[in-house]
Amino acid sequence: MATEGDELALVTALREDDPEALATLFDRYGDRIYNHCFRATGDWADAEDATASVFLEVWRHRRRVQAHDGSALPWLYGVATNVCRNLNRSRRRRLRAVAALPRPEVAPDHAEQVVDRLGSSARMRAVLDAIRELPPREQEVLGLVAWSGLSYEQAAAALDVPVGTVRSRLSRARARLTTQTSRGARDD
Amino acid sequence: MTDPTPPPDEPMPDQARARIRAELLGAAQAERRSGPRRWAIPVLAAAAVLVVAGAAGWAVRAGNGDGGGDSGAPAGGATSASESPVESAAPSETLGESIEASKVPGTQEDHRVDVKELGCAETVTSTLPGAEQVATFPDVDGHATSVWVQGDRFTVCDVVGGMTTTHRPLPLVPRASRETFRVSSAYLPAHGGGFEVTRLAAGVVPDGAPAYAVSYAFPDGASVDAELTTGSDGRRYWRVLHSHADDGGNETKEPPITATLRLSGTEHVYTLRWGLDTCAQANHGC
Repeated sequence: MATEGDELALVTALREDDPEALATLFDRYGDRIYNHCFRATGDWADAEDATASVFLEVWRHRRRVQAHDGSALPWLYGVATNVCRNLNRSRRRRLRAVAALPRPEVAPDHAEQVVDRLGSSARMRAVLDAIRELPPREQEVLGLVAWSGLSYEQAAAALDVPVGTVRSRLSRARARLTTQTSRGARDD
Repeated sequence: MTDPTPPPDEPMPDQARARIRAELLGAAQAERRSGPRRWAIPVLAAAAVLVVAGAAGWAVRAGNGDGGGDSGAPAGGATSASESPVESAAPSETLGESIEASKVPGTQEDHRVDVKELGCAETVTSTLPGAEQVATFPDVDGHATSVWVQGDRFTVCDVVGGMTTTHRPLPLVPRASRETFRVSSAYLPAHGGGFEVTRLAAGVVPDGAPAYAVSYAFPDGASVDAELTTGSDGRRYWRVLHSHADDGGNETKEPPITATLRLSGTEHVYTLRWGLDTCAQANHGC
């Protein structure tokens, strides 16, 4: 487990152009960013690409890396949130273009892992569909706090907004989801 | 309604982890090895282009009585001066204060700043290594377009509003095919909200083709004739540039862009396919 001192030393090394510090940061947080990106995109392949982009962004902006309470993680989540938002935006354009093309035959793949991954992708996309009616800013707060386990303060640091804004966005998101759930139950 | 609980976390596949780690280390070490001198020449070249483009863009906006609004970083040189990689060697506190567009990297505005810093001279080193600039087109609406040649191929590069677009290289001897007339699509935040999309196409006028004319018809009804310029290599190049508001709708439902080539009394019409022929750029997505 990394201590606060470790992490600050890591951030300092990163700011001083040490590629190993970037690799260490990736080793330490790559999985968490990967899963955050998966929850933002609903696609494991996109999550891989986004994770690579996030850490490349971190390197390019290494002198701006900030530690919040001794951890670079909230800042990393902020970068990931922005990268995935842009990825989703460009993917929507790409999908519209691809949708106009003839569909290729899908080759079946029976590998268990692939099936599991497809299953989790389908489930994640259903979840994303379910929260689609929420404003994007509320979706992001929900993703950071409820799904990625950040504290209000960390999410505020990640999104560069006041803590009160995080609280109110999350509160509104929960209220909307509750309304949707009860409406869905009535429809059923 | 679906329970909004995501599936459990999964570790990144080992192969992907190794690949990304290697890419990160490779990119970081390459940049560190090359150091600031690698940046100096392209940055100076890009800065020169941006100052021209920025001044033109700023002047146009000023002329329209537009104070710039709140669309993030203003176009052109105004921000490039304060956000150049040369300054990024300064301590983080100073840098942090100088960057207003975004404190957390990764936003679209932030990408604009980065791409802007690259400019054509740097971007083309990836698109067409070893290429040299042989021609430029007159600035239009803040667009600074240049043509770069290496061997038997060329690429076009356009800088506008802080965004650089380079095309995938094409042969200097043009083929009579749709590929020759593909357009790139660049989306930039518009002043009044939403996005403005710029379509760019460029090519080479074949040797011995005095009567060579290209024009494009766009879904918004605009018809744009190609402009010609003569390069330092003696070749003639053409460019078509068209910007319009992106209404956020599904562009694939719109009529296709068509390119018409008139050559020696004959006429050929190429209908561009959305996505396939409207994404000619090499350095960013559509």
